[in-house]
Amino acid sequence: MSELQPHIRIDNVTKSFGSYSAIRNVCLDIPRGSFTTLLGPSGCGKTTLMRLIAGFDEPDSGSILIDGAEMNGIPAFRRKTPLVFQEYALFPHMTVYENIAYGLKLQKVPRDEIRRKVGEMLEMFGLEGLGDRQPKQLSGGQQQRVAFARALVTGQDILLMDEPLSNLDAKMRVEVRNELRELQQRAGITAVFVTHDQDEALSLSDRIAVFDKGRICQAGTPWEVYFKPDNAFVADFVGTANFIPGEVAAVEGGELVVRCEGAHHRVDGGGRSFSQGDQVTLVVRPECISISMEAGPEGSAGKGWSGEIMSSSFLGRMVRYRVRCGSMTYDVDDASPSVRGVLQGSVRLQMDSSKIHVLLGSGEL
Amino acid sequence: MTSSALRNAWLEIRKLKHEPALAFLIAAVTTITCFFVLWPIAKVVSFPRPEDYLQLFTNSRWFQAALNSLFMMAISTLSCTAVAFLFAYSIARLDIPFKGLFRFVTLLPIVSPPFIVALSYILLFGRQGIVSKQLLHANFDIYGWHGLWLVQTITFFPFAYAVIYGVLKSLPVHLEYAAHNLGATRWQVFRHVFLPLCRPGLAGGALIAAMNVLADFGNPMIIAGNFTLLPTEAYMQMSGWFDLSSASVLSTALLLPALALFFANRIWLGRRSYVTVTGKESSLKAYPVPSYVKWGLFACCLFVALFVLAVYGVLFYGAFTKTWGYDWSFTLQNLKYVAAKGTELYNSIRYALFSSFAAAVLGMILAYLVQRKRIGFNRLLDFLAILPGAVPGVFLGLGFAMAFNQAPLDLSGTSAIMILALTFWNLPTCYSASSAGLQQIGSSLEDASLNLGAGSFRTFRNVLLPLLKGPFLSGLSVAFLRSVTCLSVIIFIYSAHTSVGTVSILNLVQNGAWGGASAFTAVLISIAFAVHAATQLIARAYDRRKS
Ligand SMILES: Nc1ncnc2c1ncn2[C@@H]1O[C@H](COP(=O)(O)OP(=O)(O)OP(=O)(O)O)[C@@H](O)[C@H]1O
Ligand SMILES: [Mg+2]
Repeated sequence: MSELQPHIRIDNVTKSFGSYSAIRNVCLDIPRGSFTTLLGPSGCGKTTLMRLIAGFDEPDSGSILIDGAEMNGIPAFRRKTPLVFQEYALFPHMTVYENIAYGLKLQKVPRDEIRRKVGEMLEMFGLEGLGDRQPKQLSGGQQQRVAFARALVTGQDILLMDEPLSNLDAKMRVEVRNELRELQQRAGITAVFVTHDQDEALSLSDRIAVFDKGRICQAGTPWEVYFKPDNAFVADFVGTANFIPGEVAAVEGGELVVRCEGAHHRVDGGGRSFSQGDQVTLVVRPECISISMEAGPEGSAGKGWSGEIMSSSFLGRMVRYRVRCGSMTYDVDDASPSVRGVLQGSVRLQMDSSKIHVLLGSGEL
Repeated sequence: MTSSALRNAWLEIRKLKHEPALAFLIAAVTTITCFFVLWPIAKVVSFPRPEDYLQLFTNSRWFQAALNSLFMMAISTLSCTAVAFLFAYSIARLDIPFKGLFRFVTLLPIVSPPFIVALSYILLFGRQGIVSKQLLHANFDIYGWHGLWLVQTITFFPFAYAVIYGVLKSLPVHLEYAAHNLGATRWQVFRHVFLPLCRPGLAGGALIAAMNVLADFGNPMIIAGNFTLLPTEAYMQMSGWFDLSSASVLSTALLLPALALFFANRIWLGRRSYVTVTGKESSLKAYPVPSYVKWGLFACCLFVALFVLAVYGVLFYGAFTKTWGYDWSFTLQNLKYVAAKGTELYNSIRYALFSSFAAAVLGMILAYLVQRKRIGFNRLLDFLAILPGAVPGVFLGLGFAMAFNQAPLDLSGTSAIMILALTFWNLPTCYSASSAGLQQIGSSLEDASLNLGAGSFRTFRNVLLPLLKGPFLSGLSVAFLRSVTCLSVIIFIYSAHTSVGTVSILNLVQNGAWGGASAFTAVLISIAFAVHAATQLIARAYDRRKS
């Protein structure tokens, strides 16, 4: 029970279906009280890992530990790992009240206490008065709240959630995820959350584990994952990124001078070792490039690159441009579009060197 | 691949140590099913010496019986499929009156005793028949293959209809519109688009009909006369000469084509399943057919429907007629016959109740284990549960008679053997109903229940059982009907104390006591339908409460 011991430890777990490896050598520590998100594209094995944690399936090798206790061979109904299912899985033959009360009933909680606890849940999730309804008489959002209530009512300190928000509309998702985060922090629950929505992952999580093809590509804080991706997949999957191939021209302490597209950039090496002549890829987020109208020959010529706008899309809070510079095409965000209106024609791009991230290698995905 | 499958099975089995009761249940169910399904079959097949089997080809009477069986299977299957298609097409595609009546007609024979059509046919067209003697003053010889052909067509076309209608209903109508749009005439659309799309349904329906025709015992017993078939010949050998070996040889000869048809059908259904998933029901109306076609088809349906109604009508008329063919005056005399045979009637209902309930419970447990518990031999259990469906009734009856007349389990002459035989005969029906029901229930519901802390048994009771009530009841009610009206299975295993209604009817028919036979059949059908209607009501009330 020490603070250092992870609440859930996934230790070198592998799981195959027939000849297809759905989970490959996954290691992940999930600290107590944290909100950890498993993020990855469809079919990468997120649900599979959740099912392994909940005990619906057994890993082929490796082990899952909860509070330091090995879970292999422990059946699902002994694990105390409530899961909110992707498709809710509300019992259609029970009312909302009975659905929420089911877990308590199994624990032989006295009737009065069940009534009290379920009542609390109904209130907390804004479901007052709906207790007698059948699940199919509820809207999608209400069903989803019932699913949460059912998982939370037993008061376990773990909550697993498999894309619980995927059936809600965009506005509702944002609302619910904020409530969810608040609730989790208030109750000190260790939450494991699955999503393929990067916004959701970035906004909710203490830690994000990015999945691809059954492997964990990177695990870290949202900040790390976004600004210091370990590889091109993570950089591309989380947010949008420009990949610019380059070569290390010089190493000066922790800093590198990288030559690319005929310009030199002084960037932070991120504590990793590079040597002169390495092929590298610069990862630059669209919002880290500033865009301005070509100032003409007398202006700050030589600084940045000049390019040609190919297309633009208006996203409300910003405008995203596609700009061609020589052989490269960049995604660039302009965060204050209202001031200038949509730009056209020749522009000048400048990069904020401090927000450039360097990856070793050619940046193939 | 296989080693990982074995590994998984081992992992699953290892998990069972937390649920010893479940492990025990699996072991018990598997043992019982193996014992009562495989053992009787093995007993029959292995009883004759190998050279006895050669007699099938050397004994001309037997060879003829085998040929006759195949011949009847061929022609009756053809006619069943044709009539079934007529009904399916008319009901699914045409805008005609009396559809309710036609649907009813396609249901009646399924839930009636297997020999009822044959019996009515004699009452209608036999030497003392109401049509032949009273109306036409003619004397037909109705006994033989042509009579049997007609009777089997009426008896078994509904089975084919159910399959064909299912496929027709789900055919996408817009494909036909597309073909019309490309310039195809009605006839061309029918030939090039509609029929090819129907083909899986037609084949599936034909297979079902063929299986039933092949295993038919009641109708040939009554109407085939000297035209012997494998099931009736097997019965003769057994009842006339107590020749177990010959009966075994003949039954085994019947089993082989039956198994082939059955598994062809399984494969066929498996292949079809994804066709119907994509063929979602369309709200488009079918392209209208010319009115002479429509009314022509309608007339055909009406003719068949009237014939089926006549079958039942004449039976009830016969039940209250003094002496069929001579004295048409009203009487309740025949019901006294029935009252005198009260024990048989009581046995019929008792055995049907016990066996259908047992089959429904066992079927549900098996379906649950096969679909939801990975235990390494799911496919074996699945096979065992459906196998009795492939076995002709006479074969199964013979198997029970031979397997359980000595140690380790001597049941000959008891009620237990009747109930057990009927239970396992009905197992596939109930198993399939529960299986289909389970497939409708996403496995995440059970995961959710496990996740909340319920073990396998509680999950089954709290989540699956309430949701499976519908399939359970429908399986139960079909099994009950089948048991009450069953003749083929029990003909080899009944004793003086355990005789049932259908056996009495057969005896009455063989003695020419038409009135008594009709009355008995009428009473039996009425009871069966009453029970059927009751379960339907319960199921509907349950549905209503649910929504
Ligand atoms: N029971 C199974 N049998 C065979 N393959 C499976 C099974 N379950 C999952 N898979 C395969 O494993 C892979 C991972 O599946 P999983 O459901 O974990 O994906 P996911 O990351 O949850 O995707 P999504 O975001 O679409 O829910 C998929 O390629 C899937 O086809
Ligand atoms: Mg998933």
